[in-house]
Amino acid sequence: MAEQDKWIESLEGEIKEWGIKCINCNFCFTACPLFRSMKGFMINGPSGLLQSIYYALHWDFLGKEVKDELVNILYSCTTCSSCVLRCKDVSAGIPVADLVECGRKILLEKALGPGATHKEVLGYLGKYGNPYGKPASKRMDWLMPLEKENKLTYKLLPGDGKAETLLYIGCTASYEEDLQNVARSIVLLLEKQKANYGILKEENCCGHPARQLGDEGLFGELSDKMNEAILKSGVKQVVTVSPHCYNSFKTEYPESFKKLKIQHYTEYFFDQIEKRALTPSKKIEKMITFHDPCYLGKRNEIYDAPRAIISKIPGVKLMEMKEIKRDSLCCGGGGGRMYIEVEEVERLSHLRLEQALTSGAEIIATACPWCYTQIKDAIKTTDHEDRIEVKDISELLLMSV
Amino acid sequence: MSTDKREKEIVSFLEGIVGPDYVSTSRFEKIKQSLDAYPYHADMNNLPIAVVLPKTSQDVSEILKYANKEKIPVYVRGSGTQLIGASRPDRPGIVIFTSRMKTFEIKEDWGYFEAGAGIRNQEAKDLLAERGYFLPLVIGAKHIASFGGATSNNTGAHLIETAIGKPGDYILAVEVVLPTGEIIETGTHGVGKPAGTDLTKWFVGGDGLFGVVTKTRMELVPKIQYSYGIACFSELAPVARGVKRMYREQVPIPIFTEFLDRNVATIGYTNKGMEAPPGHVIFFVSYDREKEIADKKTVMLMDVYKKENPIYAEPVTDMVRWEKVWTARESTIPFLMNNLKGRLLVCEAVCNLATFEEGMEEAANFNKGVPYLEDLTNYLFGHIGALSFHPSFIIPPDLGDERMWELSRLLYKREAEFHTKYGTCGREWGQFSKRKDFFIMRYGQTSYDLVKRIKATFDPNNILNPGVLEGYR
Repeated sequence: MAEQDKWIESLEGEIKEWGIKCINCNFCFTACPLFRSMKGFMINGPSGLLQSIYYALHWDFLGKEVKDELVNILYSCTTCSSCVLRCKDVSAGIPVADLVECGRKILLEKALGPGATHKEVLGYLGKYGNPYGKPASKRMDWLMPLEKENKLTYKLLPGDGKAETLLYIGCTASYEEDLQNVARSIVLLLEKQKANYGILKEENCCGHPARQLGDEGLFGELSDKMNEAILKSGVKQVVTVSPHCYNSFKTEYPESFKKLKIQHYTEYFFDQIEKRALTPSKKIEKMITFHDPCYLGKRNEIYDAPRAIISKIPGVKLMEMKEIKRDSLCCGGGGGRMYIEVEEVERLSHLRLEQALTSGAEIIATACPWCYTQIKDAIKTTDHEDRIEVKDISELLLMSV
Repeated sequence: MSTDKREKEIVSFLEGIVGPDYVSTSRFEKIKQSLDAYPYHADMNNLPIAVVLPKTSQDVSEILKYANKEKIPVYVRGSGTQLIGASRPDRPGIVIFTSRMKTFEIKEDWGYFEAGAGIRNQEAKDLLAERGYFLPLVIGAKHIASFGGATSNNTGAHLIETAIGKPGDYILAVEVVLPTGEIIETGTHGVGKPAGTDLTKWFVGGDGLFGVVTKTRMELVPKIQYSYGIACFSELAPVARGVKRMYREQVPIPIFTEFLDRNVATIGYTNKGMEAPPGHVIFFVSYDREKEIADKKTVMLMDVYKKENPIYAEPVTDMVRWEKVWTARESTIPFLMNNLKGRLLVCEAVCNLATFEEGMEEAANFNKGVPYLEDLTNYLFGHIGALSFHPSFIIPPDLGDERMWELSRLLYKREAEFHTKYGTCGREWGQFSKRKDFFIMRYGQTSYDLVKRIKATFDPNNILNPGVLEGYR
């Protein structure tokens, strides 16, 4: 049997093994943001997703007839992992989010998925090393305005000497105009801290979106490249802007990579504040709520560092929303949904915004470029720009130090 | 008329009622709606024709009128989390899924609240708690159980039923759509239940046989305060005697008294990062409007259990510890399923008070003499205060589906024998479907035929949840 066939068989085996263990208690449904935002059919809940791919394999009708339907079902999941936590707590402990990814891989390998837009994204990732189809040569443009006004001390790696810490920017903060300020804020904070840091000369996507969309081959290509470049750069630690890159480095990269200290920037700056290398001192007299990014919180249990940073800013009153930490409501941007339009009855980002407004907050702080985009869009489309704004924690911290 | 044409007509009719967005003919939706909380396969040849999400009682009424006229089976599902097969459609028909029927209104001036069929137990609990009320409907499937389903099942089963009553004791009225399509309202807008004939009773705990509950009106119950305690015993017999004492010495009955045998407790405690307990564990929750009185009740209970020489019996005031103990049981099944890589088989074993020691001993040896199950470990836990246990088995994954099905039958036969012997019955999951044979064994053919005649009166064409009364599916 060819290597590829064996691999597909092992993916199918995973789904069959777990699919039959799922007892269909459906306890996962009320934890699931997708189910909450859709019309109410069971295929839009975690065990519905799992049983769909399971039966497609079990009854062997995975094929053209149900192709579009199955693609829609599997690619609508935000992979937030709320169901995984719920199932682990009170039922059979099924890793539904991983199995959704398994299902996507099978669809892709059998040329049944993903949909056209996602295919386009994969094409961009392969061609340009980012999901937005922007030229690799423009990846560092976000830094230009800073360089005009500041004498920056970062090292371009490899080649510019040695650095202790690598700041991995990620695609969204590199290319998306709204998010470039987040990358710049983090750089300025590193400067204020007098960090010995570097940025990759030729950064590309960490591979996370490719894996999420089911393209394991492309994930391998992208991650191999980054793995090699980062290890070669000689840094001891990697700090990421996005929780998604963080999760990928931490859980999806080879063991050799994991020897590096990998931190999300909120963890990193929290440590710096503790060490007094950074001191938030300027007052921000605002009521701020924190939206937990799923890949930071539910996936990696980082709930406290972002809150601690916010709380250390003088003048800030931290207002918690109704659903926080493990119970936090997903913004709807994960799982590849940033690139497609999912037909929701109630948009998740709008539901989350509603919770933030109810909390009385004037600012929604977050620490994920995708959450930022989703929430900003929700504020705009619901006409709440005069009532509340979204800020990344790095921006808030920079305002205070 | 060809099957295809007939199915198209049915779908088109449903779309006319609720709109095309809320009718699904997706094969995957049909499969999922054919499964319940048991590890059996859907039946490829008997999938539903369509799944419909009505919004109002009027929608349900239109659907049932049509289905009754055309003699189309209709299955009503609230969350599909049933354990005895009662929510599994077993023939082509219409599935009504109540997920959109989410009206909820607290009418403090009237002393009640009204919940639509699709409101989840936990949602209602949270909404009531915000206004200082307690929901007297406490069930294991709180995360997902729907109000319509829980009303139709009148489920609770934990000691709370003895302490404060079954959910039905608080249900003042229901709105029901009859299988023939008429909408009726039962009961009262008052704060007490009617004397004499009260049609509410046919539908609360009616196993979904007689009508579709679309709205439940329930008394508002003031919030209660809790107090917690744990006792640990080296042997099973003193645990049973302690529980008997609780009843006989007239101490205030707590709302929960849960049990983990040493085996399950060790797994659960270890999962939660606690040291394994030195024996079998019971833990309980006393209640009262006043915290101080609830605490006093805990002390009284403790004194009763201490008469049976436990290894320890102590109140718990550290809520972090309590949370770990409370969730230790819930974490055991996933742990076992993952580590033994198997599938779960579970049933109920309900004892009586007079022979509780014997019943508990038998529940602990539930699988003795049952082919194949005899060789497996019985992980025993349950609602010991309610004299109810869940013998649980992890079935190896290599056992085929047919064999699994057969084992499930054996387990329910064993459950039927157990309940017949002790004169009890299942308290959590309804009386028919997998339990039909028990019903006949326990109450006789005459009683069973009577239920069939009643069903025929409400549902002359047997369109509503057909198969539930007929038996094992």
